[in-house]
Formats: sequence, structure tokens, C-alpha cells
Amino acid sequence: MKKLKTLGLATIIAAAALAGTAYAGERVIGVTKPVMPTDKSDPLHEIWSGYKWATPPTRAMEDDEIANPSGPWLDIGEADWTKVDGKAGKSCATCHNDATKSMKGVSTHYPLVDKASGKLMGIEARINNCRTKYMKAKPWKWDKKDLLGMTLYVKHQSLGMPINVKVDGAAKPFFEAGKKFYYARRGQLDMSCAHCHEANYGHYIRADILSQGQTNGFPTYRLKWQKPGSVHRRFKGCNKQVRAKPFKQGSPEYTNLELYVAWRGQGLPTEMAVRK
Amino acid sequence: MKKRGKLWIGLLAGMAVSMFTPALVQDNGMAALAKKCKDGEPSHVSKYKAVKGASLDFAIKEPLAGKKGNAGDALKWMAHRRLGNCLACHKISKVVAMSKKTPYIVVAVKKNGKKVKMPLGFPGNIGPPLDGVGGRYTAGELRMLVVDPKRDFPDTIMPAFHKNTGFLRVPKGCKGKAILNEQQIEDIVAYLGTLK
Repeated sequence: MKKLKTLGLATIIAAAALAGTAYAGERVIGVTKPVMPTDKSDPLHEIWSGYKWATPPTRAMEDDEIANPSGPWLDIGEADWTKVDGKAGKSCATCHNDATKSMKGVSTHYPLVDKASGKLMGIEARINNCRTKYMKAKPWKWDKKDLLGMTLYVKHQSLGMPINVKVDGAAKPFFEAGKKFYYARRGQLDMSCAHCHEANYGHYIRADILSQGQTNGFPTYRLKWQKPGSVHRRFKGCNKQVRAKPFKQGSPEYTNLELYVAWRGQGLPTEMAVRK
Repeated sequence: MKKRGKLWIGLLAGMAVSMFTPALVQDNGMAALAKKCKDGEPSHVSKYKAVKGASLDFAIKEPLAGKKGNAGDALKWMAHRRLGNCLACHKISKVVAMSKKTPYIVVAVKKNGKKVKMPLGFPGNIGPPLDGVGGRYTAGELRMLVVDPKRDFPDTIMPAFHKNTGFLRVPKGCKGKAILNEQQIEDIVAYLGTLK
């Protein structure tokens, strides 16, 4: 009996591992089968990608490597990778060489605490940190094509790989701040993130279905925006929808929140998401 | 190096899919944020007494500011996206049936004011259906639930519709404003009382 159990478990793990890397074909992890939280303190008992609630045409757009509408921005990122910019005469490739090798798996650990500055950094902040500190170039603006493109390009090297952020040690205070934000009621509508995305995911608000509000697919191409947008852009939209003053993209408030929300979705595969 | 697609392919594909997607989400732009409280939201709130309800801890027995509710006007405020927007979370079977014949209700918030069309269909299911709610709660309890449901259900997602203080980070256009005025509240309470 024990031998069968072990064999069965091994098969499931193998199937799950294969399914995670098989981006073409039927999506399993976080879509037809939830990711089970490894951290028992995750208030979500099952972790689902927003892909689960996307319609078939929307899913098809995400899965098609040619037709994914974030493609043009991804191309910009790829082109910028080897473009020399700034007074130091460097490009990303000068230090990081081939992104397909050097950036593989990197984005799954973001946001993380930068050892040099002690600051919590998301991918966008890390990119701008590299540009200003090492390339002596101007930082790129949030949600404009270069920073969107480069963030997409870096994350693309981890496509299908599970989110794996660190929330203890130096990251703990940022994590706790993000958690506080997540559960705080705000705005004239007096709602917190948890009210929609923890208490009511899978329910309809008018004709829209609420997801768990995960970050694994960002920058996400929203049909509503007709372009990809950063996760901080989405946080702004959510705050405005409950009639609360938003924070700025790249703010410590949203970066802390991004870490906390990433932890809630720990194990979800990295996606180049297309959503409503 | 594989080219993943030209800009126009992405745009056309996006346009094609978004044409088939019901556009019932609210605008998220900052200009829209400033306009969110431009539908006659009241900047004062009437005082009321919250007393023990029949089955709930709190109820408001007296009509707000002595207003007389007109059930016939209620659906206008309940369907309006920026006012009650009750249908975003609550299904009313009668209204769903109505929406098959008349998909929209015309709402003028102010007398002789601008008319807008608000959909009656596609209710959400975040809150319980309101069918029969008039038989479950008294008018006083219904009034408390619409004015400030957190008095009876502290963890509820439902907003307080006649409250203008105690919120975090309200933007300029909405600061000090409640969502519904006394007449609108009374209209809704009267209507909910008919759902038996």
C-alpha cells in the first residue's frame, strides 16, 4: 500500500512539474487544479490564477505566442536589452549577457530586499536601479513602453516558473506592512482588498467575475486598457474603484502590497497574462 | 530571433475580443475619479437613532429627515452605477424578469436634470438575493442596513449609503459626501418592503 502511495505521489508531482513547463496545451496548475499553499498561514486555501475565470477567447490570446497582445512591448524589451544607454556606455547585456540564461527564474523572487540599499524592490524598481546606478542612464517612467517592455522581457524568461518570494528576515517588515494594507478598509466605499479578492473571488459584481487578485501575470494586457499595465497600475485602479485616493506607481505602499500579494499566490506559474 | 507579432495584430486582436466583451466596468481614469461623486451625492447626513431591531441588533425606526419614501422611484437609485448600484451585488428576480423586456431604466438624478440609462440586468451575487427581504426584516432594520450595514454586520463588504465620515483616503470630489440622500434611502426602504 505504501509503495503504491509513493508511486502515485511521484506520478502526480511529475505530472504537475511537466504541466507547469508545458505552456502550450492545456493549462493545469492554478487553472483546473489549484495550487495548494505551502505556508499554512496563507488565508487562501486554494490558489487560482485569474486565467481560471478568463473566457476562452481571452485565454487563447494569452496562450498564442504570436498573437499575445503584449508581444509588441515584449519586442521593445528584447531590443532595449542590447541597446547602449546612459553615460557609462553600457546596455543590460554588458553585465547580464544572454537574458535567456542570466534572467531565468530571477523574476519569481521579486519583490525582494536589495542588499545594498535595504529597500524592497520590484522588477521595475530593480531595472531603474540598474539604469541609474550602473548605466548612468535616466530611469524609465512607469507604464510607458520601455519599462513595460523590459519588465515583460525579464519576466518572460521565467514563464511558467512558480512565484517564490521571501517574506522572512529582512523582508518581514515590508511583508507585514503589505498585509496591513491588504486588510485595511479604504475609500468612500470602505472596502479592503480582502473583501473582493478573499471573501468574494468567483462571485459576480454585475457581469464581472472577481478573481483572487494575484500578481503572477503582471504586467497584464487588459482588454480594457488596450495595452499591458503594471501591477501598481492595477492597484491604483482598484483603489479608485472604491473611491479612495490611490498611491503612485513605484511607491513603498504598493511595493509592500505587491510582496504581500505575491506571497498569497506563492507557487502560481509566471504568466504573460491577458485579462478583461 | 522570433518576432512575436506586430503592433497592429495585437491591436486588432484586442479590439476584436473587446467588442464581444460586455463593457460594464467603470472607468478607472483620474478624471473619472474626480467625477465619481457628481451625481448629487449629499454633503450632509441626517442624525438618526439606532435602536434594537426585531431580529437585528440595530434598526432605525424613524424615516430619515421625516421623508416619505416612494417605492416607484427606488429602482432608479438602485440601478444607477454611481449611486446605490445595488444590482452590482444583489439579485432581485422581479427586476431580472423586467430587464428582459426593458434592459435599461432612465434616471435623472435631479428634477429636469441630465438623463442617463442604467442597466437593469446582469445583477451580481456578492450579496444575497433580495427576494423576500421585506418579509425577513422590518422597515427599521432595512433602513439601518442601507444607511450603515456595519452596525449589524461589522465585517460586511456592503458600503454605508448614508455616511460621510470615518473613511480612509477619500478623494477630493467625494470628501464629506454620502452616497445616497434621505429621500433616495426612504424610496429604497419602501421598495424593499414590497419584496415579500
